[in-house]
Amino acid sequence: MDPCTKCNLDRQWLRKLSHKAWLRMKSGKVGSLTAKIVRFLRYEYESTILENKTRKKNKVDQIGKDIDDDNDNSYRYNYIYNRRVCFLRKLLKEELGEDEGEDGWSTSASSDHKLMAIAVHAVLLESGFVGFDPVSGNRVDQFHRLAFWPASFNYTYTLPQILDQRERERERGGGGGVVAAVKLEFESVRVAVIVSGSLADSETSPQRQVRLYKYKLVPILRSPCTKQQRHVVLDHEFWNKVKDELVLPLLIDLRAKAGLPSPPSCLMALPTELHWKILEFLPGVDVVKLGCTCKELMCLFQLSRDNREFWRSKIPVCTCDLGVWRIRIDWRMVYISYNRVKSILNTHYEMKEMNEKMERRKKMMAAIAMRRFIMGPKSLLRSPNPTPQLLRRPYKKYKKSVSSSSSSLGKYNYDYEYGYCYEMLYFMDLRLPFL
Amino acid sequence: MSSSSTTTTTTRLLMLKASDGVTFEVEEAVATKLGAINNMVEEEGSEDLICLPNVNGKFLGMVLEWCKKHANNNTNSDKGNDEVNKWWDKEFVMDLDQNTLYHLLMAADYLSGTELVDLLTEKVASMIRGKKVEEIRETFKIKSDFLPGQEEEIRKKNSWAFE
Repeated sequence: MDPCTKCNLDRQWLRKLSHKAWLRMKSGKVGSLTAKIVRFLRYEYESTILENKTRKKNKVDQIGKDIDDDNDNSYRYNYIYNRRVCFLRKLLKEELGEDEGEDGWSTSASSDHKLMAIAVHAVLLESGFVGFDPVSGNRVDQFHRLAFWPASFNYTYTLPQILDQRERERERGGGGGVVAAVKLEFESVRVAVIVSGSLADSETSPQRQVRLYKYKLVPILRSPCTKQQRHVVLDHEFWNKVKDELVLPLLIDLRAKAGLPSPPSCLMALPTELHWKILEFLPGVDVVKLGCTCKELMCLFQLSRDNREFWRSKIPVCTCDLGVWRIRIDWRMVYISYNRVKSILNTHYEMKEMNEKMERRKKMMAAIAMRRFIMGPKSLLRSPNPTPQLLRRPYKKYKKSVSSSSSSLGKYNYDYEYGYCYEMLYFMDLRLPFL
Repeated sequence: MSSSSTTTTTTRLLMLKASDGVTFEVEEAVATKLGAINNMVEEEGSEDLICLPNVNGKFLGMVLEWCKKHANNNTNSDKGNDEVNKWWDKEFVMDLDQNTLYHLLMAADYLSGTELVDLLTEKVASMIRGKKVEEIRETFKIKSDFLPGQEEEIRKKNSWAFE
């Protein structure tokens, strides 16, 4: 295995593939090429299986290492995480510190809901929203100043840019008009807080909803706990969830309504060169699928069809030697045939694996049947209407032997089973009805 | 320029100013991991304050965090360090939500930190990989603007990808 010096890809298969086979691609005789690709793929597939096996072993070691390393924090990345927790803690302190004197929030049940609401508030603030009072039309910086305690309540947010715009309009002498804002509705159910948001004063805008469960979030907000736990829950369960499902769609809606340019918070807002870069990292099948999502990406896909080098890079083996001829090779076609062959092969191997499994199972069942035949005459002497106790006993025995053999499949020795049975047969001078 | 005569290598500090006025003070070796800053340093030479009007402070901080990590590990290049770097990159990318990811990608692209762009685009690609068309639309909030029937046509043309 020596990779190509130019592209660092495996060129083992090139020895098996004659150059002429590639050329025949053009003239329509795909058969032999396909056969060769098949041969190559089999080689590739088997090597990846081996690799996976070793990787699994390494993974186990790695997990152990991970747990060890969690304490000394040597390379764990904590930047985002720390920033979020600090921000949240600070906010909680601000909000709750002033509140604590007035009513013992820490004991009442509704305080949990408030805690969660403040956490959502933190997410909104972090992504650029500011609180807003629709009655007075002013900016509100602190959360608890608004009427809060009933089981469900509204809270309005807007963007600082929108408020600036209004200020400018007022200076010019205009009335200011209605400020575009986002309305969040917090609804407390017994075990959860349902947060639903939509554009204020428009009935047609779609509503986004997030359901936050108390038992998951509150203990973490309230008390210090293990880092692992906090990390997982805060980032994956809560922060990213709220941000992706609630805050970002609202931000896009609001910006669209206020006539501001949309932030690069969706994939489409990225410049085209970055789109290309993303396509480079995708396997060919997903390039097509991405192209089917909307017109702009379809354009990109159509451009990529003309770009031969692009499709060439999708083939995961060395193709350096093939570019030297004057004949153009349609790399996209090569990739398609490669892909098709690959999928056929994959199913082939899956079938093979399944067959092997079935075979093993058959063998095991045969062993069990034999054992029953010899050891448990009771199971054979079962009367047509047995008493429940009589029925249960051999059944239990049978079940036990199955579960023990299937659970420790690796350790279970079939040969031993067979050998044991044969020995018994020999003693009893019996002949098996099967085999 | 004057420091070349002394034996101790004094690391020059650069000031980077983000769009919202936040300034970062970083060593030159760290900042030159970014192609754009490297160019500026080479052109202007003496100036220590660099204004970056297109990058928000929050994301500039994250980009610099990444640079610091990779600049440190470049100096003593061990095999073990390389692995640590990879793990670190994984952690770096893992918690990013979509908004931050795109902002960071834009910032990295603007500062032309090629490796970081590669890392982040790989992350986006991994979000796309192995998904159906509808799932891609859902995760990235893409609205289909095809005429009725147009999409089927495209699918039929590229039926090999949908087997």
